[in-house]
Amino acid sequence: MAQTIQPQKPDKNTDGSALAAKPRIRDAEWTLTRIWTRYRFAIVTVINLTIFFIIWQLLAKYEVIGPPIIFPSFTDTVSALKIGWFGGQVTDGTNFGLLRDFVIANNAWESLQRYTISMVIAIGLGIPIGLAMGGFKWVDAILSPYVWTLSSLPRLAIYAPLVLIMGIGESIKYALIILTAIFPVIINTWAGVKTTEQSLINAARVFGANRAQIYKKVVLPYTLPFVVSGIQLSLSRGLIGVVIVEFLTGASTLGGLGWLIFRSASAFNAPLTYAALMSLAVFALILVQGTRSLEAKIAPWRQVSKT
Amino acid sequence: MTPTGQGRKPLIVAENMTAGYELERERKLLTALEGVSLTVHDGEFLVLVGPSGCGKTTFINVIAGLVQPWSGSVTFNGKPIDGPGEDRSMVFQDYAIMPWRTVEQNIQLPFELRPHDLSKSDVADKVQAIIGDVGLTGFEKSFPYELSGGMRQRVGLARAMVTQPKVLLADEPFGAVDAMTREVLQAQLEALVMNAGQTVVFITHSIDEAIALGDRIAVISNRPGKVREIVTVDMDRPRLAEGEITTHPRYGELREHLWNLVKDEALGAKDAHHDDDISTGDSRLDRLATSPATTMDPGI
Repeated sequence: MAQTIQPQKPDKNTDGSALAAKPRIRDAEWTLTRIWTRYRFAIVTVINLTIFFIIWQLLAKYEVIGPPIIFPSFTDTVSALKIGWFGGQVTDGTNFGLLRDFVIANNAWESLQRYTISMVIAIGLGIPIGLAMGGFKWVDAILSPYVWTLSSLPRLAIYAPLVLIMGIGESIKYALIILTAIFPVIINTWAGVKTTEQSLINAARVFGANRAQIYKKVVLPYTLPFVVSGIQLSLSRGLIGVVIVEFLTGASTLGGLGWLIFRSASAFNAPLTYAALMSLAVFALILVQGTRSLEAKIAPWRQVSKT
Repeated sequence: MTPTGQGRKPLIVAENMTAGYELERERKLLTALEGVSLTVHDGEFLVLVGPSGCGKTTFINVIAGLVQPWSGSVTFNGKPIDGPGEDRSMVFQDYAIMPWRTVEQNIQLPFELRPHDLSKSDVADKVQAIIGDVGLTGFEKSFPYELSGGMRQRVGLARAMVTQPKVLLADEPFGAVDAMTREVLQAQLEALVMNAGQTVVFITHSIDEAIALGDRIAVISNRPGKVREIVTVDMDRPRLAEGEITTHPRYGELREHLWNLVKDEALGAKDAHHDDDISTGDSRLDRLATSPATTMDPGI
């Protein structure tokens, strides 16, 4: 990130006057040092993970932590992953009771649908609520006790009263996931509106902005990066919500990825538990990294001012 | 261009005006200006100098229509000022340009906010012309975070000048800019204003800047602020196109006179707690009280 602003540095002194015989931005040569500087993170990560999987395999092989039903080997986990996602034959004779063809894929699809719908609702409600709370004092005064209480309360505690009201069905799952995920969006959006720089608002007023224009041209763009980081937080909160809710409500079959993790563990199908867990981890990673680059794209000015 | 505002039509007239603001956390009302009477003439360059927290910013905010006076009257062209208007624009000390807009888009903002009957290409032409005037050519598509402080303030200046307003208000616009850039910007401002014949109300902490730019310099006293003295700068324009203004025969006398006025006020202001300018605390005040003959004030 530092490289992107460096070419601007000379402006401080010359203030933009053109004395450039050489172009100010040139291609750097590819030397070994540069390749290492650039890719060292990737290289180290590959080595790091390789060592991690080798140690895992050794720990399982010599049963350091426990027998295979408690701590599966890396290779068993990989074959569980393969069968769970793409189908195939169970070859090595371990007890794979729950493990059927495509079992992870089917449960993941179940969870993904639930997650996506809940997140769309949470974000779709959270942004307008946050904007209204930030923009109108009365809305803020009325809603803030509920928002702050619910957002600081461990969401699991709401489960019992929710069951009393909604029973155990599909709707309570959505309700709990939404309640887990919505508050970061609300609070971040609210904070963005509230912290909008007064001098920017003053400038807009001087140049003729009315209230609606101040909102549209200053407050909303200023708030956008806050909303994005709110969404980012909400997405990972929502993931927690999905796993918890699937564990709590249970199912006989196809309860989702969260259900599969707990269910396979209680059936002592450790390879499947680990395979489902790894699938979840990869999904979570992709999600978080994806939204991180989203923030950089939406608000480049914030990225630079952070460094 | 006559160096003084005398003989011109009064444009902005403040009469016995008192204004201030509320300190919300402490639930106190703070009087920034008390009983100020000051006339800005059509086409003159009026500079306000005075210690930190003496109410200069409040005065300029009242003219801009951002702040309502508590009592007394402020009129523009004979009519009481009621909110911002397109005849007055402003340059801010902290630039106040939108970080999510490119240079071009920032300068274009005034046209988006107020209705006008210019075509799209006319607006683009005006924006392009002012970009050339302030020396930002080649940076049209840059974002503010890619620019230095001096260039950001050029954007602020261009945005304020692009609609050719009757009055330009400037709240210590070059305070946060390094000394060299500051001189360049001063010269550019003088050229721009001489060209368009604007009326300017300009706040500064630097006596040198006040002499370099002002037709008249109003020295504001400690809070609550009053006009202590108005000094006329009888030096021909353009003053900055040639470079050295400090060698002008009148320069030394004016500087000494102003310095004595400001020094008293600045020393007396030590116990003023609140700063109504963008707060830099007392350090700026100390610097003012002890600054050597040539101020190299880098601001914040």
